[in-house]
Amino acid sequence: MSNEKSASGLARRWITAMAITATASLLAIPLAAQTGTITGRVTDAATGAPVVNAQVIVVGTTIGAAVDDDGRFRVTGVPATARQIRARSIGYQPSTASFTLVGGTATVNLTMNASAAALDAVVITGAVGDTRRRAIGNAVSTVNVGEVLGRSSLSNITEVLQAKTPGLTLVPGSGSVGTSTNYRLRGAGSLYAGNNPTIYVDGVRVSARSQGNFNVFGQETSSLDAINPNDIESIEVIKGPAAATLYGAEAAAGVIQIITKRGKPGKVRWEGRYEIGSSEWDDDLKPVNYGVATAARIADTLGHPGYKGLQVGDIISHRVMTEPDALRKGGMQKFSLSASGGSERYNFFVSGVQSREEGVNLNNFANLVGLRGNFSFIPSDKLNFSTNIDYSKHHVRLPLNDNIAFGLIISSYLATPGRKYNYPAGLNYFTIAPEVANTYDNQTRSDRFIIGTSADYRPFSWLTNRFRVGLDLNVGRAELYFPPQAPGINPFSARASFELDNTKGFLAQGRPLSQDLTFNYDATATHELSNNLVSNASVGAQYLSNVFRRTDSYGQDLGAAGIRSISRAAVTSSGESFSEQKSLGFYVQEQLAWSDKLFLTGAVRVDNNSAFGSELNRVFYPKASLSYVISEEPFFTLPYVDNLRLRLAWGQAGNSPGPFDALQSYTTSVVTLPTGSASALRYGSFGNPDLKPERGTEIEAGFETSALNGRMNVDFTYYNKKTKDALLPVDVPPSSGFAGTRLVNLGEIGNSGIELIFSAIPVQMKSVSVETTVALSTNKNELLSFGDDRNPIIFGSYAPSQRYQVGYPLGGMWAQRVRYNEDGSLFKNANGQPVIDPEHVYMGPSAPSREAAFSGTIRLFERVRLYGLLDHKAGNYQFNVKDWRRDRSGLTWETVNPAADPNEVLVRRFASQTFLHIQPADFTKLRDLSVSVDLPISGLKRYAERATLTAAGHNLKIWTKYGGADPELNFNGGNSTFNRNDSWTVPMTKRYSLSLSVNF
Amino acid sequence: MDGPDDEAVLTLTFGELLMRALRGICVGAMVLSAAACSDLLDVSDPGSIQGEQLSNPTLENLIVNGVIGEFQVAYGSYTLWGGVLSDEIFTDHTNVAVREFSLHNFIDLNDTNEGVYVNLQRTRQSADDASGRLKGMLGAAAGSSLNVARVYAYGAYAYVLLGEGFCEAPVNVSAPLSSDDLLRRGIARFDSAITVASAYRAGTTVAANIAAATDIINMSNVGAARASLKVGDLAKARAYAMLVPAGYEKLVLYSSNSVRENNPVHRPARTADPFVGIHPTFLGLNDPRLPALPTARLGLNSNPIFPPQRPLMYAGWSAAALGTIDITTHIKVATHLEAQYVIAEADGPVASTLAFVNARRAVGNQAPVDLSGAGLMAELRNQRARDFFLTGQRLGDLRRYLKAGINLFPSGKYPVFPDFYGENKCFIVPLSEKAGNPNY
Repeated sequence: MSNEKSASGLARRWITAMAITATASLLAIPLAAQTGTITGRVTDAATGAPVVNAQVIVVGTTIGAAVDDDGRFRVTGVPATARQIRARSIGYQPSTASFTLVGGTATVNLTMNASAAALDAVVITGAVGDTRRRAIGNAVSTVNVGEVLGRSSLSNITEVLQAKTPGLTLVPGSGSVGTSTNYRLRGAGSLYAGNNPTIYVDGVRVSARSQGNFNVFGQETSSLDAINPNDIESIEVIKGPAAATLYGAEAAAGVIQIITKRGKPGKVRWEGRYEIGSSEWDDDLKPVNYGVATAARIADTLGHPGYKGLQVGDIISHRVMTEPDALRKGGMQKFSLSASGGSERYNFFVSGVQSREEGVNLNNFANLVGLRGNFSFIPSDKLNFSTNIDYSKHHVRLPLNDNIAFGLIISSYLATPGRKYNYPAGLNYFTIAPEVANTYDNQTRSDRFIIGTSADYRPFSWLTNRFRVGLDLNVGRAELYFPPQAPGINPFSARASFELDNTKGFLAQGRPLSQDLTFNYDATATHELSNNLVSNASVGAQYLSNVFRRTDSYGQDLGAAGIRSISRAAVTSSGESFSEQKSLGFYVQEQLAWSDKLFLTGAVRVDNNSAFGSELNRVFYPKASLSYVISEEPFFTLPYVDNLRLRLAWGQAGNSPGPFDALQSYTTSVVTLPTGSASALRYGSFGNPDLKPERGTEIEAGFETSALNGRMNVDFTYYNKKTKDALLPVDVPPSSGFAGTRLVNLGEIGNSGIELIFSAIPVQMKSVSVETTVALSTNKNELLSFGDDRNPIIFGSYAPSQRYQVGYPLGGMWAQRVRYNEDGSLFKNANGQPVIDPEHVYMGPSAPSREAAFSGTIRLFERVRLYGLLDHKAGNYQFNVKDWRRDRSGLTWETVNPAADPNEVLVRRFASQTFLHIQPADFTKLRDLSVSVDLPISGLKRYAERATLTAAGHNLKIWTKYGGADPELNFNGGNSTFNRNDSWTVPMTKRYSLSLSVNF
Repeated sequence: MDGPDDEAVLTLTFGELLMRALRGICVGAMVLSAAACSDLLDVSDPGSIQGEQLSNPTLENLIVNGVIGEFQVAYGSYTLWGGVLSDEIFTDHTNVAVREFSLHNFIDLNDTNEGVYVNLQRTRQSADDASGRLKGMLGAAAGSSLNVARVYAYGAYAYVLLGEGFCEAPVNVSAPLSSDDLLRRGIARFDSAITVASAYRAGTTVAANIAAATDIINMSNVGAARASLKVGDLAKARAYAMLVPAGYEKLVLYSSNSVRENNPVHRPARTADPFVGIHPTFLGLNDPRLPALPTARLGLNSNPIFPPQRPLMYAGWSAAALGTIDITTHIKVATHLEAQYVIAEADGPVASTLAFVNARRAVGNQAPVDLSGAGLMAELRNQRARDFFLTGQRLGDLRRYLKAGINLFPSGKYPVFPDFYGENKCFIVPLSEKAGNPNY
């Protein structure tokens, strides 16, 4: 038989099996009555309280159920041969009990001991087959979002994840509300293809791109902000190729899975939460500018009113942006309400949220209105359906800041104090004054729908199937508006409006639309090969499609203030962009379990992707892992140790290029001819037909242990990740007619490090308990090879301050200093000016290489909880552009101080040097501090079960030796891969809030 | 029924189950192969043209328009920044790249420098590719095609500007060529343009077609004269210049139709928030050929500057009334006046040159002079600078004067910053070319 025939035969069998599965699902309901039923209750061994999050499963099958609010469960369809049932829940050690069906029924009660190691908690992300944590050979970080939100003032998913997951580095762009953050898991594994992890919500791939705001010259909005944190049950983070293999060619940067809340069997439970607060930019974090009184300034009483009456040589100072109309305390208000409940056959969770948050700039806010409904329907023990529907309406207004002269920050930071600049600037504002800057109107709205439906079908006790289809549809509307000005008045340059004149009124409207489709199928067959050996064989397929299209229209000369319609403009124009990417993948996995304590998993996934070059049809990604719960061996007798699990995983995953990166193409443009405008050919993309995905290969090893009856837990992981065929944005030589860059699979990148979580309960009494957690992580990132002998790639927004250079971290910071004579004195040219030393000096990485988080919770009298979180990041450098420019302008004390060394002043004012301003960015922040009190509501029991009042602060204090206010900034915005500059953007703001949460 | 089904499958050995699972991946791979040919993974970019489509004869005008369009953008960009790199104008801007470029103290990473390079190279390569494509489409008819002549002529100008403004530059990923090499290649293309346009003209009796061909021939003669002058071949320069008829003017066209079609000098020179000012060398001359506002404007960095107004070589110039440089203002790139300057320079300090100089001085409201020798040639240079102010001529002139030992580049303190002028005297090949060009 030929290979083709054999293959087609296999394909036919596969299709037949799928058909049988589908047909059998229709027969499942009547078959359910021929099996037994188990009932029982799951309780905490110490307190006797119900374990409300527990799930029970009949051992050797996939049959199980969730318990209700009283910990009670009922499992039907139990095979007559079954003998054991196991309960598992986050925060508890698993508990197993035996039973025998008598007359088709049995009653079993289970007790569970608390354990932070939670070996039997179910992992959803990156795992099929046996998805208990004990069976998985790689690390999975889980953030219990409900718990996090209950003790902190957090606005979005980024803040929820901040300092919660070792190995996940977040680089916020700005303290402006509604702006995005750069995510990086276990270091940068790619120069081009992006280092942001892939995001899923309940198994549906979702977009994390910008909401499509018009350019504010740095910051961008984030579509992740349209997801309501209050709807989230937990977030799972898998950090690299070893864990993400089953996600294929777009997962080498890791995967974040957002798991939303679901209903539980029992009565309808309501939860309402109201939060109010405000944020501010501390005056302490604003610099002081200095000016020296000269004869000319003193005489110029109109242009320099601040020097009136001074003597030559006097120095005046001004703390920037302290005028009453410059900034504000941004208010914040959130209200959310949810209801959940269900029975054995259905459950539901519905919620709504309204959130309004103002930034410190008067023209900055982020509002969210969201509705969610999660519904599960369980028509039989073999079949259940689940549907999640999420709608959100997101509305953001951003200020004009960052890398444009007409931003308020640059206008104040570079203003000579006491000088009154001409309109639209003013006193102490050199390009634009607050009353003008705050009229800048750039708003982005989006309507987002995330819909996912899954069907779990278990035709036999040994076979599970899951079909999932999902859609993330994000329909945006961006608007940039400048009202008509009086003749001669021109507050904003044309640069702020795409080089189109805005003096007669300008309106730009953009319609971004992104559509992500997910089709997923997983099947697992469980087979007891012997008394001790169980096999879980899984196969699956995944199809992903992403379409992004955007149309923009522009209108000039609007006629009158208030007209905000493109169709009313005298001059109109338009633009359009489009991208599309599709991928298809299959995997097969075999998992062997020995005595439920030793697990060996092997898998391979094959992928094709529309972004691959025409010379490539498919790529394979293998994985293997081992998990060993050694503490359950008879020989394991370490005192005080409750459990110990050893992990080892190896795997590969990909990182695909962008949608049209492989294609060489031309496009059309326009030319002015004597007869008018006409279309004209233009060179487009250089392309690369050999383009393939980057291949990340990772090995990770670690252990988890729990000791002292769960009062001490350690989770340790070492990882070593290499990216081969790294996509390099190689400069296209402009002499070819093309320009920009093209991608080539050349480089090799290494990342290694450790992750450690240590948690302890040093005090555990009825009246007082203390819980502490320390999370540490390191990352050593290095460009191992370019793949050829090319020179370092040098880049930087303000100076050649960053590089891709072999032997150094990606995007590492490099500085240039001035030349000195051999005797150490400053070398000067004939004009008495310093001279730049052509040699660049390596300063350090641009991303933190060491991170630590310390959190502590103190519980008092079962009513009061105090919580604090310290976040430390270190090892990286930041380009302090703000002070670089202030030094050059002679506004800092270092350049104005009469006692300063004149040579140092010369150097500081010398434009080309960066050595003094690429500075260590180490910091420690008091990220969260809160107190929560359960209010006495004994008289209101009829109406409420629990009411909690929480006062919280966020970003309350920073300790740093960095020269600027806050090194945790990047004007390039959260979507920037490597560019790091502290320039004209708002630092992280301090926020206070008060919230009341009521369950009823 | 559960039981029998369960049993039926359970009779499979584990090995058989495993093999079935492993075979699944093979099936998946085959499905992928099949899928690769299906619609499942098909995507298309509706805004792109594939290379193979460009041999389609219906795209001939699109290709030719592409060359002209690229030239219009590149010429405006070169005119603006070449003026900054010479002594015509300076900037008052907050952007670091602009500032360092303006100080003549920049490196190969400078965005402003790179922008000029990219535009000129795209024009040059578009023209070279276009001539090849048109020859493929037209076959033997290419030898008398007006479109082929057009792309030769516009491409030749790109070579000339690269040669005049850049210290060196490669061509289509070659090793770097010297300025003179680039200029000679430009001359060769002008020659080709003249040959092809002449053949076209010889084969038509339609007046409009004859005029169009003559326009390309004149344009090429002016360009070839210009390039020959820059390489020091005065005899050849004079010969080309002599062929240019009186009154000839070739415009680079701009319009308000799109930002790409706007005159690039407008934005920095407009009276509201300008960022370029006339350099002190050319300020206060009271010469209508390079007019200035009576009072200064504040630049983007809040320093007083005098943004240039519409000079002589910009369409719509008037000696009687001050005009602004608008987004629709065309610029004269090749003129009979330029040819006259070439002839005068080639002739040297003779009587006809003195007469020409005094005629030009009269246009600038200057009294006649009676100069000879080097003094006369210096005045010729002075008049040339005024007549061709902000037209992309000055940088090339300053470079060739420098070769002759006359350094007119600005030096000393920058007009509005505390900094001093640096040593850059030509555009440099940007890092993107050096990094991506294996022959560099």
